[in-house]
Amino acid sequence: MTTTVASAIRPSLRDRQQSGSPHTPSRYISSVQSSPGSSFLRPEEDPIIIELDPRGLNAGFQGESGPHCTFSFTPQNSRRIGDYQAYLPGYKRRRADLQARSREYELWRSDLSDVDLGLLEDKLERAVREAYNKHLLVDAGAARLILVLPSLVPHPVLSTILTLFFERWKYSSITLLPAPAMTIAAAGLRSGLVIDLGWEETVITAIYEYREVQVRRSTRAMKALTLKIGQLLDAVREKQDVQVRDSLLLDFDFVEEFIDRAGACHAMVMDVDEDLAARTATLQVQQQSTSSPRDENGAKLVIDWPTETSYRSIAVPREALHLACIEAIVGTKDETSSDDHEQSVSQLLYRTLLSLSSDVRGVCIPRIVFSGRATSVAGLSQCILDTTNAIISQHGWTAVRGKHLPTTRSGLGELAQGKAAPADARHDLHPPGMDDFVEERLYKQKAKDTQPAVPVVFRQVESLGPWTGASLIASLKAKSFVEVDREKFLSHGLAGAHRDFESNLASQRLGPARGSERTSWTLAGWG
Amino acid sequence: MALPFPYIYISCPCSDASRRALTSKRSSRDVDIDRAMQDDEDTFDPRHPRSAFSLFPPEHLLYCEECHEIKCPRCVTEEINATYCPDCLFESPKVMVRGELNRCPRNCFHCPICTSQMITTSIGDPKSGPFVLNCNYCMWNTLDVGIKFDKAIGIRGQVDEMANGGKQRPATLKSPYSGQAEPARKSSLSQTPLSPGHQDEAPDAMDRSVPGAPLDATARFNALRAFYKEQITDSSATDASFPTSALDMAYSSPSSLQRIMNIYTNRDSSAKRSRQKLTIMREARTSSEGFILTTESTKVSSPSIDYDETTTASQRAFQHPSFIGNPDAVKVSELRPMPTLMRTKRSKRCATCKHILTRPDLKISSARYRIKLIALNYIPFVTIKPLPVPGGLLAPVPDGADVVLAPGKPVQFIMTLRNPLFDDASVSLGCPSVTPGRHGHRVTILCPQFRIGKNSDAWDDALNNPPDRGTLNPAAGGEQIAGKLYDQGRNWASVVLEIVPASIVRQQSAELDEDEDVIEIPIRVRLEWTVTDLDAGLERRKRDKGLDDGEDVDDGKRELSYWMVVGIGRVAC
Ligand SMILES: [Zn+2]
Ligand SMILES: [Zn+2]
Ligand SMILES: [Zn+2]
Ligand SMILES: [Zn+2]
Repeated sequence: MTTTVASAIRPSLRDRQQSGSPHTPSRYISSVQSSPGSSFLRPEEDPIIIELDPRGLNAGFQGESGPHCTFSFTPQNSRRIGDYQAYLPGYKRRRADLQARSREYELWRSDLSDVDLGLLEDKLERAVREAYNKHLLVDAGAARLILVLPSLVPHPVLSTILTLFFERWKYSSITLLPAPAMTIAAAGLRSGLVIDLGWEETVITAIYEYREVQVRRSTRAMKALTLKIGQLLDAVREKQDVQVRDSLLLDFDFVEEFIDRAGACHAMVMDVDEDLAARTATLQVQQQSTSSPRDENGAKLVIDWPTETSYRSIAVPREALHLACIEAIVGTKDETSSDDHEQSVSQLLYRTLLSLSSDVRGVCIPRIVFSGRATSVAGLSQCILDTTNAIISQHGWTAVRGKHLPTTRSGLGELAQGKAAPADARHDLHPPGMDDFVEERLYKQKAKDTQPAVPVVFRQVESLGPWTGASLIASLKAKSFVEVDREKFLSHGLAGAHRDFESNLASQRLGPARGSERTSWTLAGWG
Repeated sequence: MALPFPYIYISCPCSDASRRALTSKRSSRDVDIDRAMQDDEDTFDPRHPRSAFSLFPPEHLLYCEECHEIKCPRCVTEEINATYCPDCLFESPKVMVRGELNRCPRNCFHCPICTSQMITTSIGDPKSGPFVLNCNYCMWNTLDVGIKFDKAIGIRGQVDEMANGGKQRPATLKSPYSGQAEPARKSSLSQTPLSPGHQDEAPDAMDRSVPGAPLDATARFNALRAFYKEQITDSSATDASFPTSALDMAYSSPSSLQRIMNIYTNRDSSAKRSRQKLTIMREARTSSEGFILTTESTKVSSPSIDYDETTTASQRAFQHPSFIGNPDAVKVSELRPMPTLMRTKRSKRCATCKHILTRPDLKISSARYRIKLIALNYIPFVTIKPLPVPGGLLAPVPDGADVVLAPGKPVQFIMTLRNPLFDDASVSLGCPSVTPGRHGHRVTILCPQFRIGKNSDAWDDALNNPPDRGTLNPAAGGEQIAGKLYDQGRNWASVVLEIVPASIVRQQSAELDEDEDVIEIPIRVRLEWTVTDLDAGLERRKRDKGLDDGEDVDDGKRELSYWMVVGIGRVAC
């Protein structure tokens, strides 16, 4: 049998065999069986981790603290080989419709009706080839591949991605890891709420013990903000003198960079030290009054606005930026909330928490992790949490809305009580009643390293990001749910995936039964 | 287009949607492929976004002698033969490259502002320093971030040790776990330059960190990993008291990943077993375990900064990886000079048959190849110039000025195909009468089918042909008659290409799309030839294989067809 061959090749596998463990999974062996003489015969190299989202790709080696390179899917990167015109003097940046232009920056989008999967494949192939040839400097396909993906990837897109990797390069298997759980792992947490302020969508994922227990999404995300800021900048441009106006460039690259840089200057979201609820109520008043606490030059952000030849100093009002940010992303506490896909992020956050069971909610609230490009907008995350806090204190944890309803308890007070049905010791909450010796041991363990319980208030935890989370988890020899075997995928495609996620999950949780070989693979959340 | 007019691109046949439809079983994509095939049947559209990925300058293409196919960067596999610094040409042995983090281990650096190569300069005594790295392009230098060097050599090692501001870099964290921590992803150079033992970083390297300094991403990563490892070993040890689950709990056993990935337990009895062994792990709590609250991080505490102090996305992208640069840099003053990324020499093989297509000379200073099967040794080399008629276009001058054509006015070009093969080849050119896309320009090739002679050597040529052959004869050649060649020579032939540019109508305010006014003509090239003198190598290979397999006998007939795109010029508008 090939097991002996395999164990001769891989010492770790041999150890496992000798341990006589009844739980030895046979998946490695089966992949050796199906592709004899593949990469297993080479000295084992560090697996490659690639994190992919609709805007870009990060690639690096497992066990390292960050990716070696990052690659954006931009029109610049979609040019012909040898076409350097964008770098030549005299190259004309065009003022194009941002909405239309933004499509050229996306690898895919949730509406697949105008996504050319062939083009997706072309772009991705070039990006991965460049990552290997210019940055990783190892032979592509020789080492294992770990793919970190958003938890929702349209099926045809996932199929195209996997097909490309398996057909173009000779990976024997590809491991899929979900970005939100990796974000949690890279924060040192096991549970929490990931607010991914992504490009097309803001996705809020409640994670409990690395499992996604709730996912909600809204289109109030960076794309909406980019379009909004684009309008705002256009309005600023229109107000300039005629001869200045026409020289000012306004394209996608500039707007996106403006958001990054203005965000870093704390200009997109104003200081968070004052009560946000009060401020949003008096925004109109502030706009009119020139005697606001902010001094004259503090009210405007002076930027170097690119022109065709150089730069020009232009002032952009901070107040307008703040309002645009609130409108595009954060929302207000009084907004009439609906369950559609355009909810503001603070409403979405409130709704997500509301839909969680009170114990999970109690675990998630002090474990908020922000991710996505918008995290670089200083103050934005705190602004979202403040607004959500205002919603909670107004409405508590009841789904019924209405001013006449008496809010007898404050939301947070109720929350604190909610933890009476707690998670477990791992979250430093009170342990449940001890009904067996396991619980007893748990309790002892807890007593051993006593920690004060974490109060159930919003608390932001920093994450090193999904790529690093995957690097961390993978270097601990953790095995994810979803390992796609080359031969099986190429012969059956995604249709061969075992869709019964829950049953598969259950069987895996208990460990595979003795002697049983796992012949199916699952797409888990991607199925 | 960046290339001066006229230019030639060739679309590698591997990208042909129809070709792929035959070889793959992608059921989910049949619909797309069908659609693509229908489009593709008629004409290759150079403006289609996908075309940018299949079009290559001809000199970028290779040719596989086994498959008789053109090969582009997408249909070859690559193997690294050597790794070297492109700035100082220093070659690093393969085993060292990862330890040096794929960067030049010596003195080569690039500017974090403009990415130009930096120069080591003395800011004191020319011999004894101190020294800085200076960018002669944008004038940034390392003093801007408070870094200067005692020695003019081993700059990489010195930079790796130094944080911006000149203090020691807190690359790792002193924590109770430091003993068992994996080696930090810190360059091996900060110990002894070029020491091979980068994996066994000395423990004292861990202890040099500044206490109380904020954790950088690498230190945090190491702290988190140490924490997770301790959790796994701890819980495994406790579990050892459970006979049923003891054996599979050893660290790195496959079930530890279940523990990490999949620990959600219900209160039902079936789940209790897993609970027994799994619930012991906890989350990180302190910064020494890698846990950091956002309020503690520097991001929030930094007061407002000016717009021109902030970094751009491309500057941050240039700072990867985080264990060398600072991809999270908010301010320009947080950027780091970046050691030069190493480059590789690679051999290429046909992805289909593994036949070797290029193998570089291993000497770093040599740009030569020991093997290089370039496509231009198999397919005709094409040149284009305007027909020399009074009042016609002038031949392009190398000043890069655009070739501009008047709309509605027919223009003739001479397209010359030169045969590199040692056999006669028959050529058939096909092109749409109207170019695809928004502005259909009318195109005619006056003589689409012809033969071009073999590339015999010049001596043969002189013997077999009268000396005036091959030069333009105004009486016989230079004709613009349909079905007749314009001119021909020993191994080349010229045909006339006539174009009637369409006029581009647009509203006053509307801006042209980029290159919307460029005239590009897709031409399908079909070549047929018979190899009369089969290459010695081929013969040998056949002998080795043994001829008994019968089916593989090479009759020498070759056929090749591909789309070529000719960029002619711009339409005046
Ligand atoms: Zn190709
Ligand atoms: Zn160098
Ligand atoms: Zn510079
Ligand atoms: Zn081949």
